[in-house]
Amino acid sequence: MKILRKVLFYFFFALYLVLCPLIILYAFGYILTPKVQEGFVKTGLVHIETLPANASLMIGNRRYTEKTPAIIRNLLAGDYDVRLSVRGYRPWVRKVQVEPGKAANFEKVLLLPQRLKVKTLITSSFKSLLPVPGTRYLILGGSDLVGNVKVFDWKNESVRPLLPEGSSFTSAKLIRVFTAPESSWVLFQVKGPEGILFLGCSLDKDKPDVKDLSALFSQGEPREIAWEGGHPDYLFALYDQDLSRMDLEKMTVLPTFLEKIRGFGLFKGKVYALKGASLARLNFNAKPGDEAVVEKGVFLENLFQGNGKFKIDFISNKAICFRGERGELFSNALPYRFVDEGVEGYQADAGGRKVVLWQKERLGVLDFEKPERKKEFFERGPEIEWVVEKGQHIRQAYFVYEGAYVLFCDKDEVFLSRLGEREIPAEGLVAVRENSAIFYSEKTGKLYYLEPSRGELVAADILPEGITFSGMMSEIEKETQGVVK
Amino acid sequence: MRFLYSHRNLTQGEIFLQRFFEVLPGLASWTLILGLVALSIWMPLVASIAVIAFMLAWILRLFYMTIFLFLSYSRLTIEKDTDWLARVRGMDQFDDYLAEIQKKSKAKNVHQRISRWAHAKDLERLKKLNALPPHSSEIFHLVVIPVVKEEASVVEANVRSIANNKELARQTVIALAVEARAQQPVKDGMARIAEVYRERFMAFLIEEHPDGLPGEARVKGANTSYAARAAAKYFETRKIPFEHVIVSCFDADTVVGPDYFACLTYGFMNCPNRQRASFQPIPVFHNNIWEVPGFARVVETGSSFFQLIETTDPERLVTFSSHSMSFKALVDVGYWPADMISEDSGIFWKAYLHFDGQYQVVPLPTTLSMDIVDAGSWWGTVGSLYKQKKRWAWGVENFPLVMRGFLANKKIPFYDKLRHGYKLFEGHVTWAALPFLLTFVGWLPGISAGNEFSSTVLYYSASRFTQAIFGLSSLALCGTIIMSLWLLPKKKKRFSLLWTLVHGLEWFLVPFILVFLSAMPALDAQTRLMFNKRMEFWVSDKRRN
Repeated sequence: MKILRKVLFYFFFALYLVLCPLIILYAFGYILTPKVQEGFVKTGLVHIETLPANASLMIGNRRYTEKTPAIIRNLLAGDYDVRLSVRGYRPWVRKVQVEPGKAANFEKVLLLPQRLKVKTLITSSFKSLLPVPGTRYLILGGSDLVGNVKVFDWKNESVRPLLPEGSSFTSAKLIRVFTAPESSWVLFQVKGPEGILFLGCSLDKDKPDVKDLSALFSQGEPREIAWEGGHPDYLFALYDQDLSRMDLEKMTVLPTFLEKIRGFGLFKGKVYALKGASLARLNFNAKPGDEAVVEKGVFLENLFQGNGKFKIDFISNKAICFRGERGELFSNALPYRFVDEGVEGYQADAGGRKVVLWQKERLGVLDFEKPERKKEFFERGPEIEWVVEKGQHIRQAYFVYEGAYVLFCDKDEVFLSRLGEREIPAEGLVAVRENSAIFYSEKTGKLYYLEPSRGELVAADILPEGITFSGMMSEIEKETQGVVK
Repeated sequence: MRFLYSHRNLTQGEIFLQRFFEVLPGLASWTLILGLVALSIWMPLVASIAVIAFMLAWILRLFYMTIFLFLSYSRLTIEKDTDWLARVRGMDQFDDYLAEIQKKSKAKNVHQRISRWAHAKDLERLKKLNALPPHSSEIFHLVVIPVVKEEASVVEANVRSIANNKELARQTVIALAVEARAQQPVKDGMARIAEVYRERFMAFLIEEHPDGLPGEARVKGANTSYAARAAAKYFETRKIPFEHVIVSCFDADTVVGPDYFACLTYGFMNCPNRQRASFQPIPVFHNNIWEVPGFARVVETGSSFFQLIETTDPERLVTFSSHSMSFKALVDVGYWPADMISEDSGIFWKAYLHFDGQYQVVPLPTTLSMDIVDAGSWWGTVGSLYKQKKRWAWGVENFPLVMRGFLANKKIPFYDKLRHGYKLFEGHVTWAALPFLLTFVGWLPGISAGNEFSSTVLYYSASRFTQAIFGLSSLALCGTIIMSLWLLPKKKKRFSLLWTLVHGLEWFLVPFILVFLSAMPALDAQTRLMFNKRMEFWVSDKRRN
């Protein structure tokens, strides 16, 4: 036994000494190839995951038996044409550079059907579509009259009129709709025979429930109205430089809740306001003058020069965006000033980690959590990655497939673009009704829009049917936040 | 060499050394675990290489150990039907017997032929070394059974099994080492057992060990040593030389087979340097194996397997649990350590140092059976098993003592010190760190990888390699499952096929068991030792239906 033990020990030890370096070399990508003079060469690999899976794979001239998701190893360095194909879907072709020891990574490749599957949801004709952010409702306008407004529940695919039958507001003209993130309570500004009216409405009630709140707006038409929660206690309305607080229960107004402010935002029961170049905060139910200064200093003075107005959005607990009236986009993250002008809107992803923002002709992504580049001389924060630079009139954008793609509406056509592939043109998906909005839900994987010729509400499958990211309902619905600016 | 095998009454210099070696195993285990975690986060590339090298070493070692597990099991199987008593009696007429054994075997059974061949080789070796054993009628056994809270039924099963070693029972002295602090019903139970079985043995002693004797801790070793001292007086009175006495220290729940003492006697007679040897059977945990939760079955079968593998390397074998040794050696070294929890392994190291390295453990090709911890409930058993494993892992307390002994002893060859020291250290560190590394840390470089690392070939290779290793390890696991089924006692129930399947599936609990009932208690014990928080002896919960 002693001898056997020694023999086996030395055998296994020798095996280890031989295998260990070989495996480590292989792990780094080294292979022994008779085709190359050097013998040992360092190879790279290509990793591809697709939706739907099981796509056939061709790299260079070689067709692989592996189906996606696949890792193709031992590729000699060089440029390869990678082609993915699935019956009934558009082929996916990319030129991929394989580097020694590196992995060319294509995760979350979304294959689009040859023809998008489109379903008509409502056959009536509509002129406008307004998603209510963070909810399952779309507000559909048939004409200028409030009586023609319909509420569509995209989760249950059901529709109902906004106003109850015989409502006195039926013939009023719809002027503006105010929405708040994750609130199924909506405020309509309408014009009736009596003048301008403000109607509050809970969309999640079984029966239409409209309440006239015009008495709260005796000061006139506010520039901005905001609230927090599905059934708000307070509304905050910005008139020029003063913020009014409206108590919906008591139906009272505190006209000078905050004075001389340049903009405000709400977050977790608190109002945050930009006063001069400092940031103040106070509770919803606070008294005027109770505000505390959260941040001030020279750097804020430099950032918020002038008297321009800003809207404050809390993207997450950490990330805050300030959008100026000239289209500036600032943030609390380095380097603070991201875009100097022209931002028309932005949309955060489900986790509040990144936003897709758009100007008239450009569309980019700002990733707040992108790891910092190491060994840089200057400390840097996130940078905008411009995805589209030659748009015509970009109006809206959504993240698709867990943030791997951006779906956007340029002029009256919807496109899909993969992040990180700026040089690849965006794929055209569908045409939409002139100047109408769109809505994309990651929960259903569908794009909701108004069909261009007849104005019917239709849904197109962007993600393959049956593929949804369950458990993310509330998160995903948040994506509708602030779509229409 | 005279060496105080204790952590007490040390000089300032000894205290420093003792503390240094107490800290070392825990520090190494934590460094390994946390070091690899840190590497995975900050240097994933280096961590991946380390993981590959480590995983490869582990899988090769696993296969290496599996081979020896099979070999050791084969040895048990070969000797399963051996008539040990016949061999013992045969050796009493050594030359004639040797001549007979050397004749070509007529047995058709391969096992018997191999066994006979090995036996002949052993006899030839004894003859060549002129180390002929004493006559078997002059060899006596002393069995010390410590009792503190064990039920009478548990101890009675133990005594009864010894009594069933018919001929040799008459040459056996039983010493029930009862703690004075034991409750009266326990003491009464022991008295009743003595009454029933006294006639079947050479003598039946009940020694009550007083609490708090100087130099003692509340540990099993203090109790057994006290009883062994009393037995020594008994042998002295009857003028029985200690050289002819084999002492066995049995846990209270030990149950031996009817030929156990014949095998032990043979092992003693067959050992050329029998006064410098301990004798280690294979402990199996079969007494209540079908009455405990499945995970406990797997844990203890794993322990048996570990011991099976250990017995294939007698040069580095250390006594564990119920064991036997020359009584002369026990007396010479000053009995079992009286202030250590792990007196079973402690006595080997004590003897090894005392005899300047001229001490060995002889594996016995037989089993003895013990109870699996059973607290009566699933969670209770988990807790009790954890405590038991922690107690076993507390065997790390030997490391500082052995290392101090090695530094002080100039007669033990350096190579032997290195070999033993390394095994002791590596064994404990591996015990505590390996399952964590295998279960969690191996995957960390892949999980915690940043963009830079996740776009390398190594990132993909490392995770693929880890998967491949786990795939290969399942082969070894399958071998282990098969062997566990061979080793298990037959279940006295119908649907044995179903139970076979169930027991096979129980082995897939191994990852959970390795982490929570092996590594964690070991890390716990080592951390306690690092911070000088000494453990108290804790008697495992055991029950018998």
